[in-house]
Amino acid sequence: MDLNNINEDWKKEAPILAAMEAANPFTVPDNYFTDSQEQISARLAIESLTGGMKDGAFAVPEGYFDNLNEQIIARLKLEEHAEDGTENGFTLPEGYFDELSGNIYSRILLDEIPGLKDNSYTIPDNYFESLQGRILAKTTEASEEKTAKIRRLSVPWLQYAAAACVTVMIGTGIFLNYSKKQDSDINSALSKVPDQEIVHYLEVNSTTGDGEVIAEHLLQTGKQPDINSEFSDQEIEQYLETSL
Amino acid sequence: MKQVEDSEILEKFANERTKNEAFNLLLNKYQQKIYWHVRRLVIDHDDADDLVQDIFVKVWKYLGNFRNDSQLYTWLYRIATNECITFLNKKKQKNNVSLDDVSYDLADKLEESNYFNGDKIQRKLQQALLTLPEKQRLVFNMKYYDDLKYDEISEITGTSVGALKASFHLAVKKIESFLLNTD
Repeated sequence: MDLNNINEDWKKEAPILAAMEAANPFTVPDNYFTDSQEQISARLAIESLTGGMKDGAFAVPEGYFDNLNEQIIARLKLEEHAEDGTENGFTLPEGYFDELSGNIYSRILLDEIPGLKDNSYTIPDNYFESLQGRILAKTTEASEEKTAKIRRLSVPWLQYAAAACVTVMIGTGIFLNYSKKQDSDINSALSKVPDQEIVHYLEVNSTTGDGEVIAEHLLQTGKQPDINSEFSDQEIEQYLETSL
Repeated sequence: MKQVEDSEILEKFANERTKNEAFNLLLNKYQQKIYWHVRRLVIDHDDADDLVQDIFVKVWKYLGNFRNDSQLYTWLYRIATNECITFLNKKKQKNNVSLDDVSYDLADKLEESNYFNGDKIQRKLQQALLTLPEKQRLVFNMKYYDDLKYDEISEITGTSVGALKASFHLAVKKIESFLLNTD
């Protein structure tokens, strides 16, 4: 083929193609070119409104694209880490998903049992209507009872109290002197009372329960015991068994 | 209807008051030529429709920068051709397939298209064209259907006339072989 005269030459080398009509086999929808012209005009109107930039109405923070690469790389590292067996850093109990579907079906079955969720308890008529009033009544009373009353100490009371204290102190001193004297009188009088009468008195008037044991012991020994030395262990044990 | 001269379109477009009128004249004159050029490359009508709109939006933006050192229609063809090649490359990247697979995809669209009324031999010719490398198909289309001269195609594609002639020669041989050997 002569490239300098290729417009004619190719027809000799490609007779089948040369015999064909160079017709356009493609078609377009009806009125396509009329509509297309309108569409292009509409597109141009939009372009002129947006300043020719598809994202002209949007802005990004200053330096956004400077840091974007680093942010993406950091994010990718996190994603890689997350793929190391843990989902988003969280873990699950072993076999969680194996049991999950069973658990869900159980819940569904429970929910579908009629009346299961209904409250089987009953209450008196108008219970809730009166409940609030009763609660309020009780709480009001309680708060009234618990209210602390603060009273101011008056000066005359203090004077009377001080006088009363002095009187009590003097009275107590006199009483103690008198009772000491009386004790010695009682002791001398008791020494004259026979032991048998004391035992009898104790039997009648004792309220501790120990009296009987003590009286029996006094009768057996005939003398007043020395508490530190004269009771054997066996006696103490016997005492404890009967008195406790 | 008498075709308006390119110079008149450019003159009116330069005037803000008559800019829209000029663009309508340009659309009337070149819209269909550009559409068919695009349609033959991408086969599918909807793809061609989207591309033609994008192309004329670009024309609107940059027509003010057009200098009379080339003809208006070769400038329009250059924009259209670049848009088509970009579209086909994107298609290739999106599907992660080779150019041959894109050709298969285009062939499928040819089969499925509702807007194809060619006879059996015309369909066979289109199938043959889809077996060609992109550049050979481009050159063949502009020469065979649009009847452009080599220097015009050279201006549009930025390829030397010699290389274009060789591409056309190879394309013709492959098509003839396909028509002969394929049922």
